[in-house]
Amino acid sequence: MLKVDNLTKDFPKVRAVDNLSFELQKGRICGFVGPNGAGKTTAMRIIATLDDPTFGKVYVSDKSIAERPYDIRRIIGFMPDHYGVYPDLSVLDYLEFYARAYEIPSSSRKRRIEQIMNFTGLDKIAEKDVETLSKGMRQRLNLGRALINDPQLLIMDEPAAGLDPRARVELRYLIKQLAEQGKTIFVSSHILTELGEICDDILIIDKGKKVAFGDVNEIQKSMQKTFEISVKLLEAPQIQGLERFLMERPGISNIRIKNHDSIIFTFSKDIAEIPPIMREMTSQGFSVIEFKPQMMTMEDVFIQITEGEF
Amino acid sequence: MIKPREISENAMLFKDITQWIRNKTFLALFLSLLFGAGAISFFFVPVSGDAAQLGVIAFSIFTIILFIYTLVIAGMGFNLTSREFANKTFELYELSGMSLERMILGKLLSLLTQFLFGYFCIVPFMFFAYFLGGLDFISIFGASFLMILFSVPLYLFILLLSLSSKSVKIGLIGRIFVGIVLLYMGFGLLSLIFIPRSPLSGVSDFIKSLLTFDLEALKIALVFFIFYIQLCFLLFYICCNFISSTNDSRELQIKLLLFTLFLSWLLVFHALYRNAIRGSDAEIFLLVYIPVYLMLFLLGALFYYHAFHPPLIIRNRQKEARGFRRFLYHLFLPGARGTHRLILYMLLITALSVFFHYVGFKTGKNDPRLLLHAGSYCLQVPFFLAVPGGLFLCIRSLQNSNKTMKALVITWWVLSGVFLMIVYGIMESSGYWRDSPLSNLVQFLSLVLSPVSTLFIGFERRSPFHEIGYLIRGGLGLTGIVFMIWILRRRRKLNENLLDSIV
Ligand SMILES: Nc1ncnc2c1ncn2[C@@H]1O[C@H](COP(=O)(O)OP(=O)(O)OP(=O)(O)O)[C@@H](O)[C@H]1O
Ligand SMILES: [Mg+2]
Repeated sequence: MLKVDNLTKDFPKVRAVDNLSFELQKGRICGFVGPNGAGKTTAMRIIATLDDPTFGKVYVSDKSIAERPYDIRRIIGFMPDHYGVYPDLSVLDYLEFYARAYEIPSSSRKRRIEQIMNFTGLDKIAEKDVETLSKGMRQRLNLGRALINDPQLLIMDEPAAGLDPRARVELRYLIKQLAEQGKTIFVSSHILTELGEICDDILIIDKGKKVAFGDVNEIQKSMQKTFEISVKLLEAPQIQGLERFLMERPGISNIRIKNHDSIIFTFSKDIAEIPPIMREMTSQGFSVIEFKPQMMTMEDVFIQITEGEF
Repeated sequence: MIKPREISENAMLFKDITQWIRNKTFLALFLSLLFGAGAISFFFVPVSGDAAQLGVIAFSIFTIILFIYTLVIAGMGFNLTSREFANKTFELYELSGMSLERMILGKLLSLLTQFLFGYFCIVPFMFFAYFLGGLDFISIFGASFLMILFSVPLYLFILLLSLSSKSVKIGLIGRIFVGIVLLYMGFGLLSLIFIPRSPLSGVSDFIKSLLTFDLEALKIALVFFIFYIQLCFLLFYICCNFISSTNDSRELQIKLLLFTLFLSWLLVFHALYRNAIRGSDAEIFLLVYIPVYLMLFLLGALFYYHAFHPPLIIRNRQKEARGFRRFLYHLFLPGARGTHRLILYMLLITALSVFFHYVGFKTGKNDPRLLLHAGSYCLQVPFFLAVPGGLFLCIRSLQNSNKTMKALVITWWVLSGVFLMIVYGIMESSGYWRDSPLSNLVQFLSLVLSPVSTLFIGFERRSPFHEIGYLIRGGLGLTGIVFMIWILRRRRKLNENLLDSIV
């Protein structure tokens, strides 16, 4: 459905997207996660044909955005992180306007607008002024607009930003329903857990580069193999020796010394491999008084990957 | 051409009209407009003095009311569109697949509908003025027709201004500018009406001669419409171009229109010159070549300080174009290379036109230097484009931020030009500095630094550079062309590896 090939975008001072490649299958929800300034909006705008890439190719339904932008605009829905301004326009007029803009024939326009209003729950406020809507209602309207052409690919840029918990739950429900209708959904957020439950795939980027991409369960599983282990020694001088010992082991990374007598490291192997390590440490004569393995959550891994960005 | 269905289904028209109807300002305005006109026609007009002039007075008042209405519509349109543009709402319109032309057409039609609405409310009162006497039917008809005629470019210009900046501050400057222009136009309109034997009666005479199929009048009307239509289309496409300058453009259309405008301007002048102007004051040439100078600058400001390659959409359209379109793309190639080429073509044609007149001069009685003087302005354009702005384009980081570049260059032209003009003015007004070496230096700088001051100093007959000004300008122009070619080469090199990787 969506194929991105070596996508790169340069701005005068930064490379906002750096050689990004991935592919989305039809009917799946893909979460697009990265810290602020990672390049999510930039990448999404290029996919939505609003900006030109510096390098790289993007295909939606096997059509290149460079060659068939107008065809692609008709089959995607994009929900940007801004709304635009519409003074003196009611919700109904707003949808009517976009239905005309998408050239939905006048015979089916009315039905389509009704469908959208029912789906997004806008029917109760059809006559309200767009400018006076609450954030949650605006986001629904924004979604309604993006859905009016019945898109196959829906791109949403931080749809949950600024919503209260209840509205978030409702939004997730709507997204799930859309995916069940067979739409492919590409949704960004800078909070991983917000998307964890509803996504099928996940794409993590940082500083424009792809950090991880794949099925959410597999990524989670591979992440479950990651432990953060902290070891405390009775005799502080031994700490350098322990560090050297750890550095020689496979599957150990990110070793940090804390308070002169503790060491923290990341261990990415099966849980069954932990006892042997412990045994070996004591047999080598290290005075271990504390050994604390902790399973990392996805959020922890994400923060670790994008460390220092928050 | 535009089909009626396309207009009735135009989403932008629907939206803007809906917003207009729901707008409370409009409602208040409309009611006061009707009450005003009604009150004037029933109370004021019958009791005021001179019976013969009654109709004229009433008519002027209605015209003023209509003019105010026109301005308010323009202001409301500017407000809405500039807000939409600054808040990236146009992006959402683009996403729907609505073409840029349709957006601008919808906006224009909506403004015209609003104008015509007020117009048809007022026009009955104007004809009521006719019954009061002092006016003939054709004057009223002519004046009302002219108002409709001028409302199209006026509203296009307003749209252009509202789309020209994403920043609120520049938007404010734009608003002030619009205000000044409109007030100025208003005064022009008022003087048109109030001055006895005003051009209005000229208009009515003109319409009368049109109705009798007078050949001269028909010719003038034809020439007027040639320029009128081209100018409207040019404004229209510049508006389209402004909506989306990074991922789409209307460069081809604008270049084509600028070129045809340029050609028809020179041709019309040549035709007129043969009959009417020969032997009259040769400064008429300034009238001919200064618009050409402005057209060259417009082309430069729009497309010279621009991304080297046109956007993807345009490149693909160019690739897929067949037949005549392909030929047009070839001739008015979008992108920096095409702009260079077009500027050079236009300069060549201008030079030919100057040469043509120069040959004609041998038999005339005027000083041919005035012709060279006027023509050389155009030749100097490449120099102003290349130095210093064009040279900056050779730096990669500056080239990528070409919006900043454009703003900087235009600011430089205006500020340095105005500054030099003020300094020169002060020096001239104090006897001590006049003709001093320093004053000469200022004059020389005015000649070479800014296109604004060079125009100004060119009119200064006392300047020591007046006699040889055209030589200096010509020399600078040739240097400018050399620079432009060098800059083009350099930019092409900088952008060499970019293109193949995308399409
Ligand atoms: N129009 C632009 N001009 C220059 N730089 C830009 C532009 N847009 C984005 N950038 C830069 O590109 C980088 C990526 O920005 P982007 O908005 O894509 O990040 P993001 O992942 O959407 O962040 P956020 O979570 O804050 O929305 C940032 O460093 C930003 O400063
Ligand atoms: Mg963003």
